Amino acid sequence: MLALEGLEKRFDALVALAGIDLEVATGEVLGIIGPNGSGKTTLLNTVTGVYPPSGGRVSFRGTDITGWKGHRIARLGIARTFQNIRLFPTMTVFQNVRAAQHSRESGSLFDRPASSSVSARSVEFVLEQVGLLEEREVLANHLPLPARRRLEVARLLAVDAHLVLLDEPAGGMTPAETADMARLIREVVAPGRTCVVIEHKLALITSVCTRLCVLDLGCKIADGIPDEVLANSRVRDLYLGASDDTGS
Amino acid sequence: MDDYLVTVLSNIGMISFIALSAYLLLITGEISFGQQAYFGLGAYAAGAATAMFELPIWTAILVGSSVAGLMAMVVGALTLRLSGLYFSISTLAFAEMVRLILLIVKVQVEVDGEMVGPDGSNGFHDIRWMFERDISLTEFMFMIYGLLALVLIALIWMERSRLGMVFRMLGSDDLLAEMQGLNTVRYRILAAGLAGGIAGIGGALYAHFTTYVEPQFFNVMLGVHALAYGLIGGLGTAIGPLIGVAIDLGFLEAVRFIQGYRMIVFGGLVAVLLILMPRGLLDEERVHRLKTLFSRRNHAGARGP
Repeated sequence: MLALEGLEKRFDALVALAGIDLEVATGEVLGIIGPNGSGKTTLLNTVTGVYPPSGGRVSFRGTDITGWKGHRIARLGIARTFQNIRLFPTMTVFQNVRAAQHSRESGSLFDRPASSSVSARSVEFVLEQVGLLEEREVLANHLPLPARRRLEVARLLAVDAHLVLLDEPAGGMTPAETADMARLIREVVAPGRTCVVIEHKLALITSVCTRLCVLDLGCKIADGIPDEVLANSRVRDLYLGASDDTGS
Repeated sequence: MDDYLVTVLSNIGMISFIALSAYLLLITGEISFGQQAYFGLGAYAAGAATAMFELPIWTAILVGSSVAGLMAMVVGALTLRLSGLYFSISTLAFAEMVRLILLIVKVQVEVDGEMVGPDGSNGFHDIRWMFERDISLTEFMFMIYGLLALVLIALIWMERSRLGMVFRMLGSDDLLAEMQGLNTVRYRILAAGLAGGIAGIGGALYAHFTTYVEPQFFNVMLGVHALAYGLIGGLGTAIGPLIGVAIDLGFLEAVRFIQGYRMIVFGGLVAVLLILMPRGLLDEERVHRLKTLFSRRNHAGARGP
């Protein structure tokens, strides 16, 4: 599905990604953990075209997308969420999901977003899946944090994405809210989609991921079945020992 | 209606075009201090079309709007990769460039034994279409408002369309829009072109209403006012900037004792509003609330007693 070969990203003298090789297989739910500053979000940003890589190659479903603009990559079928949550604050919950669909459609610019009852129903369907149907007419900036994260997930579900990248989907959530998010990812997002999940909360990682990869200082230091990776002494020292797992 | 009232109303109408032009860019998140350039280009191009080439008025307005729109797209393509303050300064620089170039451009042709055309710092005289066709001020005012209504309907229609949603997305979060698959650069250039075209219509009308234009009129104060109208009236709907124009040119003009202090009152009003209502009287939240209110009322009405 996604293949990274020697992916590098430098910001002037700072090396954020120091040559990452990683393959994500179709249907996998890959977790990525690592201390703050280990390059997790940079990896996501480089794959989705927020900025071009400094070296290496990115290919998606056999297409070399290295250096492509973000909008072209998105249209190939990659969707993502954001660590610091990005929504259109002055649009309603419904409109935020509709906007995500509209961005990828190539239909006429003058179609009325609200006019098609088929698409309205598809939006309502995903809002129901994430439990936001009641809030459909609420402005996004009036939602509490867990609902905002769920709205980001609804947006992924509404578009036809083969690969979804979740950047700390449970960031700032309580244990109960985290468990809800884990259930949502496992039962609704993962079926039929390949997922990459960045998260600090091991509770979420162990309950949703089929594979786990650990980054430190821009390098991949472990990769495998979650239980085995977490048992790895180097991982315990570098990640669990050096940083708290409550998220930050 | 007396001529004074007609003139005030016509000015409100014509300035509304540049207010809508600045508004269109504001909703895409761009603060342009340079829309006066497109108003000016529209005025000169349309003036030249009727006075020098004796084209019909509607063709002239189309020419003025197209020249302004195309120029805005070129400038847009060159500057839209700049963001925030850098973009704003580049729009201002371009507008000053246009004004200074118009101050030295002299292109005159002989029409009926008289030389007409832009005459550098002396301005562009004798755009006499109204006199030649014997059009009254009142008739011209209806023309202004007819066109303004068309542009306003088009904008309101656009806001309900996919394109309107795209523009709001750009203004709200550029990166998110790009990450969702929108070619943000292309849409920004399109927005710049449409905004330039709208300002151009206003300029084209202005040239024919006053029969005389000079580069000095298209200075930065016009652009700053255009921005202020949207910020006063609100960025939630295209009606917002028109309210802004009406407050400045209508209300403040009408209240006699403010005369002479108008700029002070206007500046104070802008300052107070920016503190209390940063996105104007009719901002997105208030427009949303009004819409919800109306749709509830309609639903209630439909169900009946």
